[in-house]
Amino acid sequence: MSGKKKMKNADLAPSRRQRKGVGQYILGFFLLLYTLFCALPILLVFIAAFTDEKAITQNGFSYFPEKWSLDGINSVLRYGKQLIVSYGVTIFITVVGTLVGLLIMSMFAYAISRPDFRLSKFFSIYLLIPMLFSGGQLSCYIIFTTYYNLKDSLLLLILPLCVTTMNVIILRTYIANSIPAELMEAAKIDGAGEYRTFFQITLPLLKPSMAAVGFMMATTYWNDWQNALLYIKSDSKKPLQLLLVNIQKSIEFLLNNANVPASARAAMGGTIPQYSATMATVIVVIGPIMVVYPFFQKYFIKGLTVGSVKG
Amino acid sequence: MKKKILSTLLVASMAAGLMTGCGNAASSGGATPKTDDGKVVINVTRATFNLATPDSAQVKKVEDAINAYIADKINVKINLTDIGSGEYTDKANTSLANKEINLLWTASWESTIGTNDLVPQNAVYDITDLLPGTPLYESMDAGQWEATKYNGKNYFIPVYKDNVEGYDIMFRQDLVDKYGWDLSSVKSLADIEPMLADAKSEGLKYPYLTQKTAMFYRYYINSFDFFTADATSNWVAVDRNTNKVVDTVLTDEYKEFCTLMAKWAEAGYISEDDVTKTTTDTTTQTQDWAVSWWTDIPVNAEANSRYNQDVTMVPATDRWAHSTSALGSCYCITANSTEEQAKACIDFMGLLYTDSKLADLYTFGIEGEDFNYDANGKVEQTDNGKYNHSMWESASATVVTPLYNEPDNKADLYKDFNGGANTSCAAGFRFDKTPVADKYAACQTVFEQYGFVLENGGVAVADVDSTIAAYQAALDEAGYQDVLAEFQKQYDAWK
Amino acid sequence: MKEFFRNTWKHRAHVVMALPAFLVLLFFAYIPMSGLVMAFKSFDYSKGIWGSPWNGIQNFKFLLASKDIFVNMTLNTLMYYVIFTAVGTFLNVVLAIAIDQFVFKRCAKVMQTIMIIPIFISYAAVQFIVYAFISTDTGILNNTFGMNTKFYITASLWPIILTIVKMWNSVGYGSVLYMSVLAGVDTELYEAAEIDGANKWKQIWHITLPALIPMITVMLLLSVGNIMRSDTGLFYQVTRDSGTLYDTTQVIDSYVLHAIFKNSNYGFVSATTLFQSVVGLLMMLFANGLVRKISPENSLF
Repeated sequence: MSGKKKMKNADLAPSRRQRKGVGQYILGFFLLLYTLFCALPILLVFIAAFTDEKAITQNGFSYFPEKWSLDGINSVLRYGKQLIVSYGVTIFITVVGTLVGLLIMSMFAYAISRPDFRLSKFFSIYLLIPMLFSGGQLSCYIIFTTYYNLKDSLLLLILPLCVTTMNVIILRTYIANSIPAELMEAAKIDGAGEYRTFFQITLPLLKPSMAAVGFMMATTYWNDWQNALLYIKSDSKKPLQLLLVNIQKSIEFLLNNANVPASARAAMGGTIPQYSATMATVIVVIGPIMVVYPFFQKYFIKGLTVGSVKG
Repeated sequence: MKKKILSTLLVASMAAGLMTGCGNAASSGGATPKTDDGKVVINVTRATFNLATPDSAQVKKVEDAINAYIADKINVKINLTDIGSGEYTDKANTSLANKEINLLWTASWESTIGTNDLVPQNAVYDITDLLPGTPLYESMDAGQWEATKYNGKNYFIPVYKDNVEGYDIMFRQDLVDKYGWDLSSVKSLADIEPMLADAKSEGLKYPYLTQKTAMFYRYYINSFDFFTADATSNWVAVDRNTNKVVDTVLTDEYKEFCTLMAKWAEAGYISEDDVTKTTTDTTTQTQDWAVSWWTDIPVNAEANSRYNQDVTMVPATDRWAHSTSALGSCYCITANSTEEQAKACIDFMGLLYTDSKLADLYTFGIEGEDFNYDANGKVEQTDNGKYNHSMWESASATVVTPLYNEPDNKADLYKDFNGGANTSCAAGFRFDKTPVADKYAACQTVFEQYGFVLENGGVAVADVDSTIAAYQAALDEAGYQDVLAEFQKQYDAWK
Repeated sequence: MKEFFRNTWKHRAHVVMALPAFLVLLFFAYIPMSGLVMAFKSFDYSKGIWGSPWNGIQNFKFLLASKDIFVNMTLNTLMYYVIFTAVGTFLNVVLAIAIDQFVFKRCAKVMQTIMIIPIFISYAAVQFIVYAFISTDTGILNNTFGMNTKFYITASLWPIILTIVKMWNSVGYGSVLYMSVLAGVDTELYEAAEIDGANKWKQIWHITLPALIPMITVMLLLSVGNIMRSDTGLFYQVTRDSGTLYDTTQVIDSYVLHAIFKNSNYGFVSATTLFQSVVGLLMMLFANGLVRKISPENSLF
């Protein structure tokens, strides 16, 4: 398999494309089932975000709520200005982090995949140890903020997450198994230096794997709030998930803690919606993803854009 | 291959060695940070409970206003850090460990920076000698200071508010009216059974609502002093009658309580939602419950607005002053502060506890933006105020101006409330769990599995005895006897 | 030795390429690793991590204080690891192949977008959704099927419940990786196989699966390193930290989380992490050794 030159033909053999037999419909049925299994809870989240809190407490969650209400979504939209800033921060660190990470990790993966490179063993082990051993929250905090002097810096949201063992190994595995060595040798014979070989030959062929790794990195950046909780102080640098986690945790605190007097509740304006507010925070997070993700799918679903992978 | 592993370890250990060296250099303190005109700079850290996240622009405004106000009174400049309640324990803890704070707000119940955790780990500054004679010391009576001492030393500056503990049984007023319940006949927990039966016949889901709380730790404070101040370790307490540390699980009171709870659960008065911790947090605001519990405070009428309906209280226990009752909200000076900084903190706190204008500024924010004084001179917070704190986590009840819906004589109410309490025989006893910390933690997990279930009616009446026995056995397996012996030893030595 | 330097010089471009990631790991992973010493110290705020006094292996006693609890939570951790990894990998692969084989591509696109959404839903919301489905009186499951199962009290049902929740959460997301591998498979291979008369199943068995084996092996090997770690959102929040369920839902990470809440202790956390890391390392070495014997090209090192 790895021996053949890979060329994606623009016109697939007609027989394959028209093979829409019974099997396909059965397959489609099962896929639909699974999609429903995923979608039903998500639908519940959307409905619950707009359901009246009292209705939820009395009758439980329902797909057909008795009473609709904007309380839940409002308790999140109160932070309107901050929400927009946080969106910006999250988008920024996701895009920058993913791009930077992809670049340096694919270079590293390429380097360690070179068969006659003696140091590659050392680099491999060097790569694996951080996956298992970690110094802990406190030591990271002290070292990053005091010794590196990176207080309240966006770099701390980007850099610690941009190189992960798993992603490098995935890239390396892909290079080793799916990119034929002959291509690179041919390039070398043609007189290309190492850098040219990497950027002009390997990188384009690496696209599917980079798309997968990029997607996983983007998900990690999008979801991360623990780094921000520790390192970020200024409002202008708070990412989205942190803000939402704060909203949800503070509601829980206000409701459960006996020490907080009733006057504190007044600040939240009447009934504190707990369930609907939590669901509203989820909608805020997944909205953009549902919009953006389809653009990346062409790298995973073969045949969506013909001839996209290699030429 | 071996060489590669070796070289990696070499790199790591070099890094470690580097850090040890750097670590020692940095932690050797240094000079007191001062501003250009010689004011001592202190970092003040506090939590925001009323908002999900504090507005840092507004916090800066308040900080500047405070600094402008105190400039001519004391030689101090503060840096104010406000952290949301959801992040407070993590952020404040790491900041504290990194020596970034001088004056920290905390409480005995705060999870990672609780008073019981800070003292044994040397996180707080000993201010016993710095206090006498200062305005701060004079602002509260000596009893308050005594109540917050640890091993004879002062570490914490309490916020004067309701500093004693007592619990009430809470009834929904509309049901009381409807069924004509005679609340004066309620002298003990068992007396409310007929009322629960009424509630059940009404079809309510939660005739008796425990609010997902294990109540033995609360209802029985007349018999025991639960000096650990934590429901998950209610398996050890001081018996008031014998003045000894006892195993509460084996007492008659525990059995009586658990049996009562089991009986109520079987009769359908306690929902299984409370046992499984799935009761909604907003249930108390609905009409689904009839009877629950409430922590006694000077103005119990606050409950009406908290629960969106009228409720009425019947005392279930007396009021007691325990070791940690006065530490429900307090400040501490951190161990990494220099002596000058510690003195500066005390000066600042002294001013905060005596100057009403500063206290209002610190609590309510900027006048005109975050709050206004109404016609009676009381405080009315604006709807979109960006800086929002309450008295209980800011400054003493005696100095902060009451809110518009609070009684004028709020400070006096607190004095009466606190004054009418019994002082526990074990008040002032500080237990140190470090010798048995691992077993203590394991026993707390055993509590969740058995104790919590027993106290919320999760066990059938017939099984109560056997479950208590199993509970005790599991505790013993986790090292309970050592914990008990250790606390007995410490208590006897302290007595 | 000289050989080594010559080789390195020959590959100097590769060294340069590896440098940025090397430095990032050095500064953000290796140097903080020195904090692992906390596992053997008792933390003193006034002295900091590196100045605190040593206390030998006291911190490790936290895990072992109760033998029963330790055995229970370790077994649970292992059990869930095995279940989640086996079921998860199987479902990831099946889903990847299914979508790859599905001819209606635009339909597949929409379905796949929906399938990845669950990973973005935080466990705080997931716990409410789970409650919505399995609560005793108002739960959707009980009401639709007329049952009256008390899910939150029956500990034995929870391995199933947690597995379903975990799969719902992660399979859509996890299959993306395998789909990207399949996207790189040459379609000519399929066509050649068809011409040779192989049906769909034979094609999958001989072409699709072998294409996935390297990635599956690598992912499994990497996951073994985390054998002692668990998803705290799943085990702490979804189960509401309910004591009635501890028998089947208490894992090491949730025990630590619960203990830390009342007993702030950096040493304890550090000791537990070190324990998990060491076990993970041993397991990974063992697994890697196994793979090296069977098919050396798929091993990690």
